[in-house]
Order: sequence, then C-alpha cells, then structure tokens
Amino acid sequence: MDATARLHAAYDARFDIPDDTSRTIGCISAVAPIELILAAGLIPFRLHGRPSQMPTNGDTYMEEEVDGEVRSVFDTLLRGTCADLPLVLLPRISEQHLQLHYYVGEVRKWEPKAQIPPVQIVDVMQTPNWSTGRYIRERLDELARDLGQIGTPITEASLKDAITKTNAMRRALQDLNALRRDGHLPGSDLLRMTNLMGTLPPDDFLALAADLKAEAGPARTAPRVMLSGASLDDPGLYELIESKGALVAADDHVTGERLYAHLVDETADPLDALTEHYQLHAPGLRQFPQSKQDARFFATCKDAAIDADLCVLEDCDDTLGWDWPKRRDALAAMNIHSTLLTGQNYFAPDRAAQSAAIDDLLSRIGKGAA
Amino acid sequence: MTMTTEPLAVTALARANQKDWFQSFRARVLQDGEPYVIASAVSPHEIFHTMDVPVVSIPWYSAVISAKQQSPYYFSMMDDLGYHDRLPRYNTLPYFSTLDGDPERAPYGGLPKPAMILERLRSDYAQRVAELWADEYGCPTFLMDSPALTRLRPDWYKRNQHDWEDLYETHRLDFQVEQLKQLIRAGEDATGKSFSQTRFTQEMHNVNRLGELIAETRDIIARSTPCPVPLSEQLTNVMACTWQRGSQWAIDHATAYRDEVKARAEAGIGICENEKHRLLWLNNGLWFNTGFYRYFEQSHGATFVWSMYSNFLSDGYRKYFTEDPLRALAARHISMNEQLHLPGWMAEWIIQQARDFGASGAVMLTPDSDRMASLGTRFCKLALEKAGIPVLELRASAVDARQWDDDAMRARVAAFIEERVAA
Repeated sequence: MDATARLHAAYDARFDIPDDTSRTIGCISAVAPIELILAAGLIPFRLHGRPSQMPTNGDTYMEEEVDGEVRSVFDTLLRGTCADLPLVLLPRISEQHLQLHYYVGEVRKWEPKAQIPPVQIVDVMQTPNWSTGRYIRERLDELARDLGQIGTPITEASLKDAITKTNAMRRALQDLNALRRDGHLPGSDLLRMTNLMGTLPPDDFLALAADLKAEAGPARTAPRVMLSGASLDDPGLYELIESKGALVAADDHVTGERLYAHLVDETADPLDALTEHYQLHAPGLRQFPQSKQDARFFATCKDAAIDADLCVLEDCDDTLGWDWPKRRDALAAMNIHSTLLTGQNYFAPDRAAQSAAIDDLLSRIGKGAA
Repeated sequence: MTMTTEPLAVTALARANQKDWFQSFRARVLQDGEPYVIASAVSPHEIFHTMDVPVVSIPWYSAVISAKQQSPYYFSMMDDLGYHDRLPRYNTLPYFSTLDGDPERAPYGGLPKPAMILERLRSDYAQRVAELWADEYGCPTFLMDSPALTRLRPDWYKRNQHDWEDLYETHRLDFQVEQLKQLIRAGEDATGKSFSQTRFTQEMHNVNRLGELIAETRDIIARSTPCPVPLSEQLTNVMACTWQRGSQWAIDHATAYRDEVKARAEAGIGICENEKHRLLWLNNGLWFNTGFYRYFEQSHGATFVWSMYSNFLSDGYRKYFTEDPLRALAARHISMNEQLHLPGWMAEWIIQQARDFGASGAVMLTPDSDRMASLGTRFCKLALEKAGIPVLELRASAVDARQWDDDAMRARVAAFIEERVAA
C-alpha cells in the first residue's frame, strides 16, 4: 500500500479508540498539550468531530448555535463510546469549548446513566499577558501531576523528550506544507495528515510523513487558493477546490497550517516553554490582537503567492465574520481575489453553494484587478 | 384593589436622570476635556467610578439606540460594510454609531473619543469588536480574561454574597485580582486620575446597600398581588441604578423606588385589574418594544412580573467583605455571565424566582444573532418544564426591529397563555 493509501486508511480509522484504553487520554480539538500525555507514558487520542453524523443525544441539551465540532464531540461523549478512557482533556481554545466543559458537567445530572468519561478543562487562556502566562503555568503544573498519577510521574527529561517528539511531528508537517505549496501534495491530504497528529503514535506518524514526502508527485502550476475561516474536520471542501483544478496552497484555520507553524522551545524550562506555546502560538479563536493575526495571514498569502482567498464560515459564526471586511479590503490591495461564503452547516455543508463560490472565485483570477 | 395606569413617579426621574447624566457626561468630556471609558456590562465599572471617571455601558447605549428606533439604520450600515447577518448585534450597535460619525443621528449626540475601551472576554468576538472600535477612535483597549470554573456548586444565588471565595474558586479570584490591579494602573495612566482606596471601599459598601434596597423591592413585588409595577418600569429603575451603582444618587433613587412600590402595594394598587397569571420574561429584554410586556394584561389577565434584570443587581452584585474590597470586586464580575447563562446556574435561579413571584409560565426571548445569549436555553427550558413551569421560546433579535413581527409574536404568547398557562 502506498503512502497516500495508508494516509487515507489511517484518517478513515481516526475514530477507532486504541486497545489500551486504560492508558489512553482523550483530547478534544487539535490543540491539546499532547506533550504532557506522552511524557506521562500515556497515549493521546484525539476525539474528532464527526461531520457525517448528526447529533442525536447531544442536541437535546445543546443549542444548534454551538459550533459543529463542539456539538459533535458532546454527542460522542453522551453516546458512551469513550466511557473507558481515564480522562479526556478539553483545551479552552474558544468560548464554545469552554461551554462544552460546562455542558458536560450539567448533563451528568440529567443523564446519570450515561457513560461519560472524566472531562478536564485545560484553561489555556490566550490573552497575551504575563499574568495570564503564570495562570496557565499553574494549570499545566496541575495537569502534569494529574497525568502523572494516571501514567508515570512526569520528569523534566521525559517532558523534554516528549517535546522533541512532538516538535518532530510539527517539523514533518512543515516539510509537507512546503511540498503542498508547490502542488507536490494535495492540500486535502495535508489536512488529513495534520489531523492525525495526536491520533497516530509519533513514530508511526513520522514514518508516514517521511513516506509521503518520498512519494510526493511533481510540482503543479494551477490557481492558488487560500482556504480560511472555520476549522474543518473533513477534507471535502479541499477536495472540491482541487477537483476544479486549483491548489489549496495554504490555509488559515484552527486545524490548518497554524497548528504546526510554531515549535516549542526545546532549550527552555519545558513547562514554561509549553506555557508560552499554548498561550501565545497555538491556534485558537481567542488569539489577539487580531491585527497581529491578520498580519500573519497576509504574510502567508504573500509567501504562498496566493491568487484567491475563500473564506468559509459556519452558519452559527459570531466571531470570524468580524475579521472579514478588513481582510477583504487588504487582499484587494494585494490584488488577491476573495469570497466570503457564510451559512455553512458543519453536518450538511451546502456543496452546491461552495461549488458556485469556487467557480466564481476561480473565474475572476487573471481577469484584472481584484 | 385599585388599578392604575399611571407610571411611578420615580420612573420619570430615572429617565430624566439618564438623559441628564448623558448630557452632563458629554459636557464634561467635550467641553471640559475630561476622560471617560466605554465598558461592557460585565466589567468592573467600579474602578472608574472610584476615580470619578464616567463610564458608558455598551449594552445601555445599545438599548438606547434601539429604543430610539435607530437600530435599522445601523444594521443596514453593517450589511453594507460586509459584516454578515448572523454576527451579534446586541452589543455592537454603539460601534456602528461611532463608525457612522453622525451626532445628529446618534442618541444624545453619540459617543466621543474615550480614554479606554474596557471589555471582559466572555465570547470570542468581544475582543475583535473592541479592537476595531479602538482603532476607529485611536484609543487603547483593556481586555480582561475570564478563567474557567472547574466545578459548579449548586445554589449560587444563596452562596455568592458571603461564601464567594469558595463558590468562585481561589485560583480564579487570585488571577482576577491581578487583572484588577493592572486595570487600575492602566486606568490611572489613561485618564490621569488616581485611584482612591478609601473611596473605593465606600463605593463597594454602597453597591451592597443598593442591592439590599433592590432586594427589598423585589420581595414587595414578589408577594404583592396584583403586581404593583410593570416590568418595563422595573427595568428602567433597576438598570439606571445598576449603571450608577456605588453613587449616592443610586441609593437615593433605589430608596424612593422601594418606597413608592411599597406604598402602592400597601394600598392594593396594581397594574392589572384582573390579574390571573404571572409570567417571567427570560433572557434579553425587548428593548425596542417594551410595551409588548403589557399586551396581555387586559386580554388575558397576564402580567409579566420579572425578568433576569429585575433583581440581578440585588442577587448577583452584592459581595460582602471584611478585609479586601478589591477581592470582593473580583468576585462580583468573575462569573457574572455564567450566572445568567450557564446551564444549571441559570435555571436554578430562575426556578427560585418563579416560586418567589408566584409565576405560572415563562416567555424566553432567544436572540437570533447573539448566540452567547442563546447558550444554556435548552437546559433552562428543560429544567423549568420539569419544575412545572411552562416555557414559550420566541426567537428574534432583541435589538433589530426589522426582524420583529409584532402580530405574530403577540398571537404566539396569547396562545401560550391560553393553552399552557391557563390550562
């Protein structure tokens, strides 16, 4: 089986819980501090959202205005499929994730027979201030102690080793991203690979990444699209763009290339280094100032020689739409075309509307100023 | 029993005070060059009250814009600029009035440049709007983060006034106190005024006294049948005190409000001649159409007696302290939003209010374009229904009059009263 086929198989199997459940720690979202889990000799397991499965149990209690991934994970927890996990970590990367923490606590009263594992908030507030960093450091200290009690006590050496391993995965993704930029690797496959970090064991992940790199195809010249907006748990939109002959040369969302753009400092105190990484560099809706986020976005567009930006938002978006007018105008000044597509349902995206928006966007490339 | 259609005398005074306060504020800022601060509702205005720096509350000005029927204009502007139609509207109207820059259109002449915009992060958009707004003015922002509760203890409304250290968790309060210290320094730098500890301590005691007066009035309204004061007037008086909490005016006004309500109650004066059903109004107020609360008094004998803002000032703001008023202030704001919207906490308080006020039904306004205000509503509905309190959910914008179908909403509430409350 070639590397791409192995990637697709691994991605399709991403919901399968590892056999050794007593040593497996669930992680909600792609931004969990898996270094601490690895350092305790435990297995991180990402609880992916399931866009193909409409929530049933969860929607009794959770409003449809909540982000699709959060609704989906809440439903998964209520279904009891993760019941045997000793702990699930819930990083606070958005208000919706914080609300999930509270909803899980409340639903235990309403569904006393539901097999819901312990869920622990990881309160990594992302205000870029020193006092916030000290607060996060204390929370990570507590988490390290908790994980050490489930697995083996975390030492400085074990944590540094885990940071090195996780950074190696980030570097591997950076290498693949460089290949994606020039069309050697489809953006859809890079999204799959990115979402396997924290799902595959690090050694398996690195081996697969190396094979993907070795098997990368020739460079392709095609319209170059930036895909921005809501985080994506499914490569469907990437594949739709690629099916029209364009490259998804870059992306700007929580599960895209921002996830591995920054490496944890391997020379500093490891807990301080993790604190700074998850506070200041991990992607999340709470990162600000937005002007800094916008500057990074524009730099990526420039570096990736983007022709057009497609910004896609979920139907319940109350956040990312605030960034759009400023980005639209700045992109136009950079002669980059752009389109905003709102109202996309996580569970039932409007592929016809997406297709029309892509067609329109691609038709404008090469036809004068944006 | 005597029925009255006359408003309370204090209600006119509250309205006049609001207008006078704003005109005085503009004079201080525009003519005298004094600094002021724009702040979210759930942020610690007390810091700036202590420094004699005026604070304009964002939802207060938003409600004023809405009440003056200006929201359609600003929302059209929002559409034209490319902000999509699901973005939150309740707290963002004032930003668009600034962008518009027309003092003839903006209520009371609009908001001049502030010394600072203060936000407490209880969503993922507040910091974005604050940053855009501050860029427009060329002023700094101060953003307060909100640490997560690790566990929810029951009966927050019974514990939060004295037992707040345990309820809100020490590590969270430690962080909040640090943020307050930083805010004091940033506020002093931005305004050129000094923070007085003695004045602050008095301010904190004043807010507690204010809460006691509102609590007394709450109890009078709750036990009096018929209801002596319409919900819209409750809100006018309580919110005026909320925005000016800590001041002597607020204490004096709350005293007069209590006395007038008490006199009415003792005289058996009510607002609905044949009161048969008492209802709660949940979630956001219907600021552009507060007359809606009274549609059903004549037709159905149904009176709205309570909303979430009727006595949050008494139930949620009071924080008694013996040593450190700054820590008490930290406790006041650290979980304010959670108490109003968090599953569990929201419902347990409302159920207690329904029992206290003898309410037999609730109408819940769930905003279409403000999902922070929609959170917790399903749990809340389930809990109220389980407690025997039927709930009607209306989905609409709390501030965008363009989206409100008055006839349809009236018919739905009428049917709800007939089919579920009266049944």
